[in-house]
Amino acid sequence: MTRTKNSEPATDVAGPGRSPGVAVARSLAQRFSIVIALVVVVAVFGSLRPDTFLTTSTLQGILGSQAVLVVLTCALLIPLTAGDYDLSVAGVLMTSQMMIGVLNAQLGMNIWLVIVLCLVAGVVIGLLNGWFVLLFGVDPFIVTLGTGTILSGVVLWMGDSTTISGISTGLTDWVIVNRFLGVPLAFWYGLIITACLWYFLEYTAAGRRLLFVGRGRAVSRLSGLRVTRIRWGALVASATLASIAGILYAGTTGAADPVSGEAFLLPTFAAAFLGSTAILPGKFNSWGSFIAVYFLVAGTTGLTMLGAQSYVSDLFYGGALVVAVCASRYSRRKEVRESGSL
Amino acid sequence: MLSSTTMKRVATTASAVLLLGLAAACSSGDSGSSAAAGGGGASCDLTQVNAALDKYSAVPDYTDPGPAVDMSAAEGKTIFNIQESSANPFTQALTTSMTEAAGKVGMKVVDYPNQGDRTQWIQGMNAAIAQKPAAITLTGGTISPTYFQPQAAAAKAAGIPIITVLNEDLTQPMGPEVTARVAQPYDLAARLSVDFIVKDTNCAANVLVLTSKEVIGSPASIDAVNDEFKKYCPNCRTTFQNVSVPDWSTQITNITRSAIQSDPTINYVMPLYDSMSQFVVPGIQLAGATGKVHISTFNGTPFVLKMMQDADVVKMDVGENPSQVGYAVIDQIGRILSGAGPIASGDEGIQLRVFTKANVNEAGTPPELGKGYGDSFVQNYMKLWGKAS
Repeated sequence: MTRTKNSEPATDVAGPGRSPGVAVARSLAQRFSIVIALVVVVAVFGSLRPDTFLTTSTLQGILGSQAVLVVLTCALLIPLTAGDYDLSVAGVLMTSQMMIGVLNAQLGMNIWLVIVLCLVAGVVIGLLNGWFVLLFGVDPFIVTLGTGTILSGVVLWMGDSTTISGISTGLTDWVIVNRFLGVPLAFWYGLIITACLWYFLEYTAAGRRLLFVGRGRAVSRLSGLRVTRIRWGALVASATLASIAGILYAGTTGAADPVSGEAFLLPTFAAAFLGSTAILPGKFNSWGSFIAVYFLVAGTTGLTMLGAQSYVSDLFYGGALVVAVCASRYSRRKEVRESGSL
Repeated sequence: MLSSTTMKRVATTASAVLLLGLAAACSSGDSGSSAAAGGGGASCDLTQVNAALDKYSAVPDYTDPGPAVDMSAAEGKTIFNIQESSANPFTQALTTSMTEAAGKVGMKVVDYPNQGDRTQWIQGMNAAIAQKPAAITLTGGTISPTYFQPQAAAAKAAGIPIITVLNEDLTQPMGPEVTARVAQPYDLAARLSVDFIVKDTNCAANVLVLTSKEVIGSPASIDAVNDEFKKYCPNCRTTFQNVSVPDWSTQITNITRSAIQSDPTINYVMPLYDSMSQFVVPGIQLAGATGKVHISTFNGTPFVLKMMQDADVVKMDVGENPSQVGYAVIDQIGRILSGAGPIASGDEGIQLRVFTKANVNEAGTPPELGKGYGDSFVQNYMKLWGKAS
């Protein structure tokens, strides 16, 4: 139940009677399916609302609005790659956000010191998650569900169930107000974290070990990998990145509230799974998720600009996820069957 | 069997059809825009809206909700209170003031803790029926016997009156099995929000109205918004977007940003409930419309009043006095227990106050729940109950 599925390797195989050129084209089409979908979305809405959708300000707005989701998805991708679910990421986000509300806005503590404390809290929560999961052998799905719920309670207690505004403008300036190339800095933070995670997972020994553990825990153990330590590290990294997402969330809204962060949990999973259908199909990967997030927000932005009510956006969001993942899985299975018949 | 390439084509076609279908749905969607563009200028008569805003900008006056009532029958009795969620600071404040007022007439309030889950509300109703209190109060904008009619009927059969607190507007019918209510002036609050926008834009408003229809009073607010614009600014434009409460954090920012970028003439966002504002503000910022687009809203939640104190985005917030509501609830319960019968309409004269930059500091720095409304209502209720010292 708890092991996530990193499906078959991304290498493509030409089917019987097919030329290598066709196989390469098919592979490219699959790898860049979300990019193609994004282009289609932009083309459709751009043709329907060229005066408003195809503008620099709309592009800047779209890019600047999803940094929290991008970073939280990156957080989730790490344990998913290691074969574990982390359901506490939204709870960590809320904890981090509420710590900023209480310590900075209410108690007047220096914002940069509070940010450091948030990161420390993220590390501690990750260590606790790992401790319960690995030393007691408890299912991470259950443990992180439990710790996430505990964190929700802690956040309610910390903030006395209230929303706290008045967070230092130093943070909001460095998250959403200040811009680079016209786009709020939050976007660039998300981009940098996505690139770093990509590099880590694809080009470092530690990242490859994480992937091996996710693909085959027993084999990894027999190969001499320290599986327990690697999984623990993944949970710590996840909580720390979720804490950064919470900092960005506080900087985006300028306030801290005890409940709204929970709403990020399902979109985060949606972005992670949708991202696994592209760039490196069959693998959780940060660029795939990054593009998936912006594909979804481009779609919902276009729909809103056409005057759609929010439920239409839900239809698009959920429909895109189901169609993409089903098509990807079907396609992969089909290719494996064809390659097996060679 | 289809090849994977065929499958991809099918999926792509299906996606395109889905996309076009959604686009078609949008064109017939409930965007609710009114006809003409904002007018303004000499044809703008602000007499009525100014009068309303002036009246409600001052510390509110207290008015007796009804004749004097003998509270002796209430002494020693217990009220069983179920909030819409114990995590909601506003309903917590209502419960606190209710407990304070109950203590002054010898009553006790038992609060049933819950996290807003309807199954917990049902458990709370069952617990209440077992404890046989003098009354059950349902406190908040989303809780109603509609969601637990069998339990509400059982309470009624057991002779336990149910009183709803701030879930309906005065213009709405009472919920099933409800004995009495303290109604919320949703209609009036929405009209005041509109009045401020009309005044501030000099009848040249283009407004994005954000609603949450699961709040029971929302239909009354929406009707009031439409009616008030029709009356005082027929050329103003409105666009309605509904966002359900759980989606506030993930959708409001994007909807606000997209709406402003789609129509740069939007100059006001009117969230029906002010807690939406924390997600509206970043939407305005991302659209690059800070200073051009403002917020007029309702509730008087302290963090939103602080946003008003700290910046220029939230320009007006209609506050309601939670401290008074507790006394209003005890007044209704006292009337039921005395045999005189409740105020049928549920109009306890809940006090509203228009907060702007000019008077927001009277709510405290930082603002506090229940501050800025005066406290004359306490002595007046005590007089009405024959308890004045």
